[in-house]
Amino acid sequence: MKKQWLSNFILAGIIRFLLMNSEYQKVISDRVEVSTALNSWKRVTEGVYLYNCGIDPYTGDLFHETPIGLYVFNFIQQHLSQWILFCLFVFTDLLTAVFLGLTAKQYATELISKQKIEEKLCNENKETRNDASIVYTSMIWLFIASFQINVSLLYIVPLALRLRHDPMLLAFSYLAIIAIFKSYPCIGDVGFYMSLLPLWKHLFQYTQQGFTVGCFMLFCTVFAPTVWYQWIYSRSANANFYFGVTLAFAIAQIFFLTDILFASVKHEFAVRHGINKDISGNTAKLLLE
Amino acid sequence: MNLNFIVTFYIFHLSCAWEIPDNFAKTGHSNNWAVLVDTSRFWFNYRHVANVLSIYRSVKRLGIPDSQIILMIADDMACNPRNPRPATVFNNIKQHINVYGDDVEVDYRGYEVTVENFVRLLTGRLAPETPRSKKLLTDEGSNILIYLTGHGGNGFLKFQDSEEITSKELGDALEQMWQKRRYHEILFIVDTCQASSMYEKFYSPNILAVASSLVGEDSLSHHLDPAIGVYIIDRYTYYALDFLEKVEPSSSKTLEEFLKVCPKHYCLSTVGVRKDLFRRDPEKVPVTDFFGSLRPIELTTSITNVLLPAKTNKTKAIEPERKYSYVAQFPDVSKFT
Amino acid sequence: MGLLTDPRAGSGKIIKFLLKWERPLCFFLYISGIVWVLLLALPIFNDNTYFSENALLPGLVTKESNLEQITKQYYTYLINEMKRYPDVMPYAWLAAKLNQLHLDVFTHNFTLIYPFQEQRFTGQNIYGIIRAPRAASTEAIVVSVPFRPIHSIYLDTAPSIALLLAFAKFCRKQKYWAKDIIFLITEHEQLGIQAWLDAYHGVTSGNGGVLISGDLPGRAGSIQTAINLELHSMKIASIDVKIEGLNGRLPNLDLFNLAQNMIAKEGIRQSFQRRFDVKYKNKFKNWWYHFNTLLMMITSQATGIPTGNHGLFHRFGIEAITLEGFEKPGQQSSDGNFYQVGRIVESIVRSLNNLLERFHQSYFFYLLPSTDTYISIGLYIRSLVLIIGGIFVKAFSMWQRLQVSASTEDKKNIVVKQSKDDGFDIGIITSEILWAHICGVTIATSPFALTYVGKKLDFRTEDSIYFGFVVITILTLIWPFYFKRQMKYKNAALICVIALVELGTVLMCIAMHNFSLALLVAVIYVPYVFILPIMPKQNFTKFHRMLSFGWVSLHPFMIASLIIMCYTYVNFSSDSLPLILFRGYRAIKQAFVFSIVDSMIYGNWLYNVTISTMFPIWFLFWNILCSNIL
Repeated sequence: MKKQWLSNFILAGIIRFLLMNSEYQKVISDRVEVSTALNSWKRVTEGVYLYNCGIDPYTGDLFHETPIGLYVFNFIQQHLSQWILFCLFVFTDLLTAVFLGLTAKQYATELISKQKIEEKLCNENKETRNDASIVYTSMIWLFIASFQINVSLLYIVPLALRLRHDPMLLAFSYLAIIAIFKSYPCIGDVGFYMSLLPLWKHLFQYTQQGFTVGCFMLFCTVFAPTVWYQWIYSRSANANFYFGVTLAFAIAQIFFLTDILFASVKHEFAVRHGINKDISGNTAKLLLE
Repeated sequence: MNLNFIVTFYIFHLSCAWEIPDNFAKTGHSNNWAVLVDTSRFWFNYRHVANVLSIYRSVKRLGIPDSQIILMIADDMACNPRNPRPATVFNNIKQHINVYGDDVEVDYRGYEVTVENFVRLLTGRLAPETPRSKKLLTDEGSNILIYLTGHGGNGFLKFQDSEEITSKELGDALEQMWQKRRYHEILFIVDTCQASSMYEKFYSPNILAVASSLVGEDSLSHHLDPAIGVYIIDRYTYYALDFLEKVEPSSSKTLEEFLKVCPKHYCLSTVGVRKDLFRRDPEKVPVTDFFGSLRPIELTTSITNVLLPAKTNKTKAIEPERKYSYVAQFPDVSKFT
Repeated sequence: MGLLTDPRAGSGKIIKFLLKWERPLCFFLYISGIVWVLLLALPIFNDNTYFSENALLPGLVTKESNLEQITKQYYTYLINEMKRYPDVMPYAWLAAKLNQLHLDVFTHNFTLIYPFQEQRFTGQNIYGIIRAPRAASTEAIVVSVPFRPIHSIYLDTAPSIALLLAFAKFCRKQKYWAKDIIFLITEHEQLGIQAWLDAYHGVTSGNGGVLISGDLPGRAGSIQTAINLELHSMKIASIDVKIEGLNGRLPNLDLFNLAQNMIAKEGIRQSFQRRFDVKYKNKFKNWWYHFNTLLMMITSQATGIPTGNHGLFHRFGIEAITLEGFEKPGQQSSDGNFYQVGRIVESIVRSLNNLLERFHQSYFFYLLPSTDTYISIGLYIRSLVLIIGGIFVKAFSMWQRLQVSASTEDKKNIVVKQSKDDGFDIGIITSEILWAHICGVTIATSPFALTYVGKKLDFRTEDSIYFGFVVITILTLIWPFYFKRQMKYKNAALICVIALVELGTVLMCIAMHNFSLALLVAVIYVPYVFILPIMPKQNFTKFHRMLSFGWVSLHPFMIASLIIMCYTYVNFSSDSLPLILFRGYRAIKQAFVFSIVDSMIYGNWLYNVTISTMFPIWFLFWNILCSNIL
């Protein structure tokens, strides 16, 4: 297991390093999906340069990092050579991966042990309840309330209350919400929480929108660059086309997140009240209302 | 003061002057100002510049001096590279009068024509270093003619294709003027699409407002000059000018007549008038109360004997005439070669 | 919110309905899409064209030019000069004439290194610039003419060069230009203009090292619009306005409108797709006529090949059209009418001079059934959305069936054994899809290898590419038979679902750039995709076998060959059948080479996109049809 991790990490590091030094680097760094105003290294370099020239980098609409970030980046750019900088990038990426991997592992083991205990507890009173269609209201209303209001800040408290027993899912939801509502949507944010997706494999059987969301996301990721090209290069389509696609992508993500959250509720219910969906010969349906 | 005396003297001499016309005596204002604004730029808006320059020409002819006219023009049509007749602006295909003549003083030009500058001008909140020519130095005795032309919509007038003034803002600016005693009466004329929406939010007294079109109507251009390739004047302004051309400084034409200059079959839009804020009857108000200029005259019925200071005047007149010439643009190089 | 929370939206009546009516629904959507296209030519679906751009001031100004005599003079001289040097462009004469008018005259040399053969061709463009007298040189208008030698296979353009010179002379004297005017005479048809544009903007549009555009000695402002003139006679009876550009890009509708209006104003018949506006009293006839015009535009746009030199400007965000003037057939040019033609050009350029920004107000996406009506994107895109909707319905219902079968299978499996193979085999699916796409990309880049091998065998480029493609086609056809595999139905169906979703997405993306191409592809491929028999082999009937064999004809190379054959048959239907076949064979060979060379010189993406997207999709289906599904 350890060996596999190591080899994977080395491979990933090498790919990252080669990409940084290849001619694709410029292509990738020019892609609007990858490099936004908030995470563009070019802008950081320019901001630092302006700062060193004695020009306030915040006056233009160029530099969006924090002032502390400015000092740090200034230090980095002045004292570290290009090679070390590249290695630093690779290192931070790998570090993120390690943390993500460890967290996932930890969570998975915890989940299994917890589930076993709960199943044991629940199996004892399994036979007592077997309504064909079970309606449970009170658990859900918080959910709906939280998704009605379209300000991400308002999600924090209701979600925290509802998911207090599952901090990992809570973190996942926060990450997704941040990615959805970020002012400059970026593939990195989406990729970050998507990489945690395998954690919810046990929820997949309860999801309903998988196909729709999948199609939607695929469609948007292919469609966005084409309309971007038409807007910026051939000037035939305007900004609204691209904006529309990013909006559609955000909607797909909202569908996706909602689906995962509902699936977790259903899963919880199934664990508590028995997993067997087969009730007196008919397949029971879980209904959320 | 000298002038005062002379005028009084003459009035005294012409015995008919004893009967001063009713309306003349009751105006109650002591000076006239005009604020003429073109808010739109670009070559295809040539007609708006022609509009405002035509009104400028008329009020100047009727006696308002340049120092009391604030002329705001958002674009320089005369020097537009597309203009086949450089350095001119025409407003009528038949009579070739260049309304952009030698003596046009533009006070706010190009990008200086902004909502902020316009409101600051009206309310007198300009920076202290602003030159006199850019200030509206009115008092409680001033009659002001405000003429606006450009592209408007319901409740706003576009400035420079980048910002708008809303009718509410304009109404508030006029109220501030009233509270600061910056006017006696205002004749407000606006020639844009849906122009009447501009005066709907006025609430200050002594304003007579005229608009070239009602809400929901477009203000249309009058005619095209194919030699220039653009429409050169708007309908309402064209007929208003037609009327003003016949007005003399001494004329007794009334505002009521002015309000009827452009019936619907001429303008193709309905001219809107708002009289409820205006205290006088337009039928008894001469147009020269706004379009002309009142000299500062004090009327007196008592007889005063004045000696004409004829001699001193003469000596002044014989002052040796000095010929002015332009300084050479480039230094004369021939001296050095 | 209901959509998200209500589970009935996920697994309720709608899905049952979809599963029950899947096939009829797909075909209903397809047919309604087709019907929608047919309806587009009806007058009630068209809007009359209008000017959106205020600054244009179309035709308001008095036209002052009278270019009749001067054009004739230039024409006589030019013809003499061309006769003296029948094979080359009279560079010196043209440059001298422009110099006489006191323009800034420059020549531009370019080199084409013909791909695959390493042959070099050189050419020269000549251009003169009139600087805007009272404005900074920040914007420019281009008036261009392609020079054609006297023995050219294309129609003569000498009259338009004469007009260009005469118009330049006229413009030189005017003081109202707010933009520079560039008078450009190009050589070698689209190569010249492409090289000039590349050099003007300092870029290389095609592959590197193919068209070497060099540098320009003189420049004007950023080019706003361009008018390309192709007048074939000194007596013009009608003018055709051509708009289709590279990769199906169209100029702004305002520009098209402007040209049509100005032509009509001067009393010359205007046409679109060489078809005049004819109003039949019979409504059906009227519709049929307009529909044909529409169809011609769709087919010409779908190829992605520019119909004139204007088409290469579009890439740079420059709106451009070609005015092609024809004489009345059978009429000898006795006295010209360049008085009118000159005034048309004058009034168009004068209007363009009024522009303050680039064209942006009116439509960029439209279809035209006549010269004075248009169909906006909001209307026509619906037809394609309906057709593509069918694809997604098919994909979704297949997916739902898989879910249902998976859950029932699960039930059995749980009872019998906790088997491992209840899910999809992701490995097989991924490798299948990956390999299909790798094949696509490989074939898209294969011409280099093919010509390399061909050269060793002493083949001509055409032959080596054609026979290479034939070999590739045969290989791809027999590949699945050779590696006969077994595949679970579930995996096969999932591959189909993915291929369907890909097809839908690709079509929509193509539609954003070239609606006509997407429409034609959709019309051909979609119904066949609906009826493809994706089912276990034991259920196969003869009919199913035939259906799956029919899929061969939709191989991108096959369908391209078929279309070209049909086209040849339509154009040369009077010839004998073997002759038609031979002609068709030659045309196919040339078409393949041209599409590849176009992609390298101009960046035409028809070849690359069809091979790297449509081929993998075809190949995925073909693999599944041929493999032994359990």
